[in-house]
Amino acid sequence: MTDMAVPSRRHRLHAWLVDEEVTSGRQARAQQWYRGFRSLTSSPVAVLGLLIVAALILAALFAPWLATHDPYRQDLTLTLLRPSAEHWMGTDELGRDVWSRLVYGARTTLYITILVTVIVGPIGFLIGAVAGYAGGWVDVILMRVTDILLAFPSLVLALAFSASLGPGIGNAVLAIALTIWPPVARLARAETLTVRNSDYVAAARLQGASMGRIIRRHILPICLPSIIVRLTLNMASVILTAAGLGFLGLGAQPPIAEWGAMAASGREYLIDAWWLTTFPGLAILTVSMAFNLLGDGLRDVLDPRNG
Amino acid sequence: MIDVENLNVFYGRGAQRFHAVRGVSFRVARGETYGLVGESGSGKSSVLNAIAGRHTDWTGSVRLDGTSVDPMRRTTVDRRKIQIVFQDPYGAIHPRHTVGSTIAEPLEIHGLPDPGATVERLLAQVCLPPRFRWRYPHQISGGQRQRVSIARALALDSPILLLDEPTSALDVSVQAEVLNLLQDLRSERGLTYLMVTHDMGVVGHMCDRIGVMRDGQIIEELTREALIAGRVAHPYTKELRETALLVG
Amino acid sequence: MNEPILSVRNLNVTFPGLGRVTHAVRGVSFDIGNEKVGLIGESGSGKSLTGRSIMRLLPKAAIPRADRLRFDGREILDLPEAEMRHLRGHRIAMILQDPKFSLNPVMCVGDQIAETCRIHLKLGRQDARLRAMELLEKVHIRDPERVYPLYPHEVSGGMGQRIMIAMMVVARPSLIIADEPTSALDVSVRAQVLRLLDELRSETATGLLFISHDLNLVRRFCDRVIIMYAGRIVETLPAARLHEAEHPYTQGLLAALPRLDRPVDRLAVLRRDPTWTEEVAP
Ligand SMILES: Nc1ncnc2c1ncn2[C@@H]1O[C@H](COP(=O)(O)OP(=O)(O)OP(=O)(O)O)[C@@H](O)[C@H]1O
Ligand SMILES: Nc1ncnc2c1ncn2[C@@H]1O[C@H](COP(=O)(O)OP(=O)(O)OP(=O)(O)O)[C@@H](O)[C@H]1O
Ligand SMILES: [Mg+2]
Ligand SMILES: [Mg+2]
Repeated sequence: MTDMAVPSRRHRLHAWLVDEEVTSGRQARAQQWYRGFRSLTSSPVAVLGLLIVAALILAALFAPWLATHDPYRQDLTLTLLRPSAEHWMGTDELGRDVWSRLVYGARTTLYITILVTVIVGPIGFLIGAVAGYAGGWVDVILMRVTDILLAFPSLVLALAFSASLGPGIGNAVLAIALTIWPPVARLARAETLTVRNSDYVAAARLQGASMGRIIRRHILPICLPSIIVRLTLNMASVILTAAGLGFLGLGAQPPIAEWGAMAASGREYLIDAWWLTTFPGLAILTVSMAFNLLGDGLRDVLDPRNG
Repeated sequence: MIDVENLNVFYGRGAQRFHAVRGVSFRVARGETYGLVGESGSGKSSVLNAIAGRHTDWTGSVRLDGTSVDPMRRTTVDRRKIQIVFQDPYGAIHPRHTVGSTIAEPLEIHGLPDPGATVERLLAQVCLPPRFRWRYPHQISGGQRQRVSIARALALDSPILLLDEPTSALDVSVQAEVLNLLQDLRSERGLTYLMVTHDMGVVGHMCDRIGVMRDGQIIEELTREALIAGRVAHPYTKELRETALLVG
Repeated sequence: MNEPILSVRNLNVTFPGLGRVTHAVRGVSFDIGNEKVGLIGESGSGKSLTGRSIMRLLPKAAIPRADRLRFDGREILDLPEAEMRHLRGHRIAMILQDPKFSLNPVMCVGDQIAETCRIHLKLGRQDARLRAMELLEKVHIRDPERVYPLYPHEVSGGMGQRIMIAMMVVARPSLIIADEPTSALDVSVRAQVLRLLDELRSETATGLLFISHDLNLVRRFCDRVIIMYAGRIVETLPAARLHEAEHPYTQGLLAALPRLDRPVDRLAVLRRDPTWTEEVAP
């Protein structure tokens, strides 16, 4: 009996998700999500990206179980061992297990990407939307600031910021966030300009909606897809910048496991111990690529023209 | 109900300043439908936008229900007196809001109680089934969208409705539905309409009085009877009327 | 009779949805020679999709299928995208339904026309600007100098439509698909714009597919009328004999028309019969 109940419940859920006679707001929203999910998963490349990102999240969550050794325990008798059954990816110059450090490094990477998203998304959107919607001198001032920041290469700017803020992972994230909101703000402003004069925004304004309400209820839903896509596509460069800062000693401080810093410390032993740079390098490459693939997939799904 | 005197509407600044509407005056009594017809670009939408408050760069006097409105600042009371239905049913509704939240928006803005029940009542009023509440605009047709924007305009019980070519994007069968709906609402609620249209057939069907605009001015004002009987003075009005009568 | 410019046989457009497949255009067949063909039908009946299939400008989700979709002796659905782009620019032109959606909202209208001139006529920047100015005049826009630098939201509804027409005229196409090109124009400007379309046609053999809601206009302007209902062609008539239409849907459309010479209290509303969707066009 229970065998029967499960497929039929799934069947009903599916029917509910594709039914054209929508009966509640929850169903309408669920259907939108479902449609998006289905079209995302119809592209194999996007699925690959999604799977890798999911693997990154799982690795970060279950790091203590996935790691075979303590990532911080040094053992100078076991330095620079080749990959073996005991140490899958070998050990580093201080005798720490590379695999375990890589797994814990996923936490750092995830921490960086989430933190940057949480900082950059809202800031970039708000600045862009306010500039675009208010226009006039507000627009001029906000966009000049944005332009100034845009004019510097982001790694140089991040370097300057993190040098002045002092080394450390939190400061590195802050420095990166400060350098990548300008393009997001530009994007949000461009989108806002295209909808600001639309009839539906005019209708809301004539009914007395405040600027906050219009930005939140009318402009945000229009900008959100492109901002999400932009941020996802940016993730690759965030990870690389974070790695670069780590590489230069301005990011995560030892002994925290961070892929960029790991690759950097391995470069002295590049000839004798290729595994020290290769595995963190591959991890950075894979995850950056996965975010790029996912971003491309999301672009197709979230494009309002496909809605 | 609507009392417009010497309305001038401008766009742009400085040397680019453009005088789109020049000294337009007309009056619409309570429960009456006034039609604005005329050349494309003659300023019909500009008149509506100025009265509704979408455009603020105008001079002259606009009185709604006896009280005059200021171009720059509008009170909540002013806002609740007047609603506008835009020409393009595709552009007038937010593509990412459900029909229900589109209609509920004015209710929420003005903090009215129980938006849910009001939305259902409004949907029924514009002859849409209650389940449409959860649909997104891309799931309904052009005529249904136009009815959604009419429902939104009715939400605040405003006595005045400005209609900017409400049916020009609709096919005649849906146009007939929308026009009938507007007539029913007018007789039920005593609404006052100010309506822009290009279709002389629609004008003759809906409007009690008509103002013919050209180049920012009203060149002739006439009643429906005069239009139907052909008592028109201006050659442009004659041309409009004759083309409309050129039916096989 | 000589070869038609466009020949369509059994065109179908489907949207594979989640639950069921939406069949938006069902087995549509027609030919267009050097003539003006009107396409009318209710909102959502598939008129725009038919027009867009010919341009291959369908939404991404749509799947078009046809036994034949031949333009100028070439099968449109088989053409590579690069050739299609050339065709779209030079041989087939389309005026889209919403001018405000189709124009770039952050580029001034004059520059958009000038851009088209530069692409099609290979003009320099300065010449393109002059040409754009001329075109604005040609579609009877008053004061082109003032309108040139306006953005799409700053022009009136009718001006937007005429700007689209101006952009189309540049290419001198041999097939024009006009999707409700004049719905926001008053009668006098409309007459001028239609005259412009006629002028264009008199210079070269041009087919025109004229999608419209305006029965009177179609009756006067077109040679032939195709009536669509729920994705199917229900009737094809010479325009002058539209009032003799046999299909109840067409009759209903004619009855729903408000008329100056025959005022009524209430307009007749079309009662849709489910059997209409099952009928197959003759
Ligand atoms: N935001 C704006 N900036 C500059 N000029 C504008 C703006 N809005 C309208 N205009 C100009 O004002 C004039 C009148 O426009 P309006 O939209 O009122 O015309 P209309 O009578 O509604 O025409 P239609 O029937 O074509 O919609 C036009 O010449 C137009 O170019
Ligand atoms: N992206 C889409 N997904 C699913 N269905 C669609 C999509 N686009 C259009 N349709 C459906 O295809 C049908 C035909 O649409 P089309 O735009 O051709 O209508 P139309 O005859 O041009 O109507 P109108 O006169 O309102 O412009 C509609 O019923 C619509 O619901
Ligand atoms: Mg207008
Ligand atoms: Mg259409």
